[in-house]
Amino acid sequence: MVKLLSKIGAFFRNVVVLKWAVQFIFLGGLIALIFNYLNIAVGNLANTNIAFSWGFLGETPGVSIAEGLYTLPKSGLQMLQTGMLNMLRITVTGIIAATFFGTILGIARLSNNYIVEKTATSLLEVVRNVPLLVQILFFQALILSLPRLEVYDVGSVLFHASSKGVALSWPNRQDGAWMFMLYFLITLYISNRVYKQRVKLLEEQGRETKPFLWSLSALVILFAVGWYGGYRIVGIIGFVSGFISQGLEVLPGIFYQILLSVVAGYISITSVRKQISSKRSGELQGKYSDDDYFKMIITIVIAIVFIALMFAPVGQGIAKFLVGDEPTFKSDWGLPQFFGGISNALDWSITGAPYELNMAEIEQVGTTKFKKYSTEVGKSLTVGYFATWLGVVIYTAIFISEIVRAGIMAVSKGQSEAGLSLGLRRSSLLRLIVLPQAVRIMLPPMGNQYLNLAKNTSLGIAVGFPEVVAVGQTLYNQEGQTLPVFLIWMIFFSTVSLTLSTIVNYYNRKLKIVER
Amino acid sequence: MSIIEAKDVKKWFGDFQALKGISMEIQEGEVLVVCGPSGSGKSTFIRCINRLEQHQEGSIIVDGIELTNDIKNIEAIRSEVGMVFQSFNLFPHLTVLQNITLAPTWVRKKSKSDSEQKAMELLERVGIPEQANKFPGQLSGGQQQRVAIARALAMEPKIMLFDEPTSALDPEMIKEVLDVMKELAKSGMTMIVVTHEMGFAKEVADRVMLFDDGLMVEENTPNEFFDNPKNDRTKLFLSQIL
Repeated sequence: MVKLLSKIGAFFRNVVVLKWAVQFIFLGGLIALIFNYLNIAVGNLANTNIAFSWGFLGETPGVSIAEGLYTLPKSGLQMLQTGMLNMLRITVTGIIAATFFGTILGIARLSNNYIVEKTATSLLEVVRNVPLLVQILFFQALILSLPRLEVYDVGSVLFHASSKGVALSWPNRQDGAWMFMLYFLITLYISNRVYKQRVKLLEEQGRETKPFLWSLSALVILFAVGWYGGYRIVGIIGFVSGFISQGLEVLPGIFYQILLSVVAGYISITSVRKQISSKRSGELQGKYSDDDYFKMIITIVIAIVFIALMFAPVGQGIAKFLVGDEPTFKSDWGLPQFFGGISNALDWSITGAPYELNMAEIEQVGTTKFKKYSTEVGKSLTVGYFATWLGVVIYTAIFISEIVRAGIMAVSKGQSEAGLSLGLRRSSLLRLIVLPQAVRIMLPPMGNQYLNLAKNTSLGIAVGFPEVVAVGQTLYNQEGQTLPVFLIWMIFFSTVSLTLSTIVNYYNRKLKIVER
Repeated sequence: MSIIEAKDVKKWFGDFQALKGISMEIQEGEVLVVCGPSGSGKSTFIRCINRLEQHQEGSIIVDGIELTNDIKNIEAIRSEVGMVFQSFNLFPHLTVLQNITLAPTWVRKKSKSDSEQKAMELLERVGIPEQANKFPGQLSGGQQQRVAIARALAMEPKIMLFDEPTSALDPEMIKEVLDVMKELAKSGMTMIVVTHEMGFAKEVADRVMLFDDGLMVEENTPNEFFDNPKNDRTKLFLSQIL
């Protein structure tokens, strides 16, 4: 008896056993927790008499949006798209501007010039010690204090600024704009290929091949050809999409269920095989650790669960969605509709210039005293846009400046001394030696700041900027569908953040210094 | 004609006086070894010669140009004076070849093919042409220091400064670097070498100096310096390191 007890004791003192036990207990606990919360959510929804539904995405919300893609959205989906695009506009332009100003400010902080250094430092202390929301409200107040639009302002203008924001002349999209954008991307790719080809020739034959001139002329010629109608060549893609769309219409939902299951099975099997071969390839006869076994088991379990889900109502729902006949989902999503949409947008019977340069327009609404910038021609940027943009850009630029400063200071002093002793000027030294090394140190924290900027755009809600959080809130206040809107927010912000960090990580790997 | 003329050079770091009046003259083609205990000001002095440190009193004239606050003079002198550091200070983000061609391309405005050809010649001279496309992090310490010498030579300097070039190296690698330096000395380069390698001083130096506490306490030919030093401080120093 005593012997048995001591055996059991020894069994539970075995670190391998303990490790496995902890892994399984943690996994079980996690699954139980998720199920518990799902149960609670379903119960709560049932109590409030609101059935979980995506229907609002297809219904007309009956509200207007101050600026963006659709100012009078016909569906909840269009409304959210407008919000997402507005958020992305601020994020993309903001990241570029914040990086630019942040770098200058960071270098100014390291300046030997007393006045430059102290000015930069005071700006830093003010901006980073005041909440971002307060700064955005401050910029709003600042713009609102500009002169108001008056009757004599009405008409076409090149540029106008007032308490309503800013209006400027702008190349407005015409029917062929989508085709032209795609065409232009292809053009960029081609000129890049030309450049690489010429560089290769230069390296192989050692004669001057002028790669930059060649690629630039390719770009200019292709651009000109495209602008005057050549862009219609991408209509081929639209033509093919039309056929794909027709073909996809006859496919039943079960096809997608099987397809997704096969893909999941394939991914899990290849991943397990990779894990096996990573330790056992050719001469290598490594031993598997417990973690290796655990990883393989988890991969297979996830695949089995996924396949099971594919044939449960969840999978049927996804299949219906892809087939495009989800009845509660009145929008035009679904794979046939998606390709149909591409075929409509890339139609080679479209003619005319892809963009048209328009003056900005100041309009009087009917006979009322209410005057506004046109959202149809030219470009109008609202107070909300400016306040949010300035707020997030300056706030992020300040933190980036600290990263730049730290990055430059982290490059050893010996590097500068070596550069100086070779006779390099300070500006060349910074550009050729210090910054390339500092960038490697700066990139990871810089990525964090970009994510912060992207997420901080949601503060635009305070100044009436219609970004994705503001329009989402309007939507669920109208329809009561809180949970779907939150899901959309989560998926959208995760997608943006993960995309940003993927880009930053890509460059981080690319710039890594080669060590032995 | 003397290529470097220093007169009564003084330098303070805060309230600590590192150089207390150094005067010397160096002739073209001369090899000068400077030794002394740490903190004696020998590194500070040679760093004053290409203005990595700024002297506060006295004058330094290099190749007929006086070192003043005039940025043009400083740049002119720096491109005539090559320097090799204790910690190599190669640029880790550039290949060996790029390390060497950087200054000729950006300072001397030479064409890429010319400077690359010159760089390969220099790599032959220091004995590591096969490492041209590697990164500094992939080389041994001795190889890195030889690249650093090639990098300084690529500017075709009239004077080379060596700031303890072998102090950060393994004993095995010291020899390969010293061999390159001996070859350089025999080719007629003007050199100032701060080092503790007394064998090197005996073999190639034209003059040896001892610095102590910011002053030059002894200046002598190598034979006299090692066998018959004038100053008691030199005797003490030699007894401690030999």
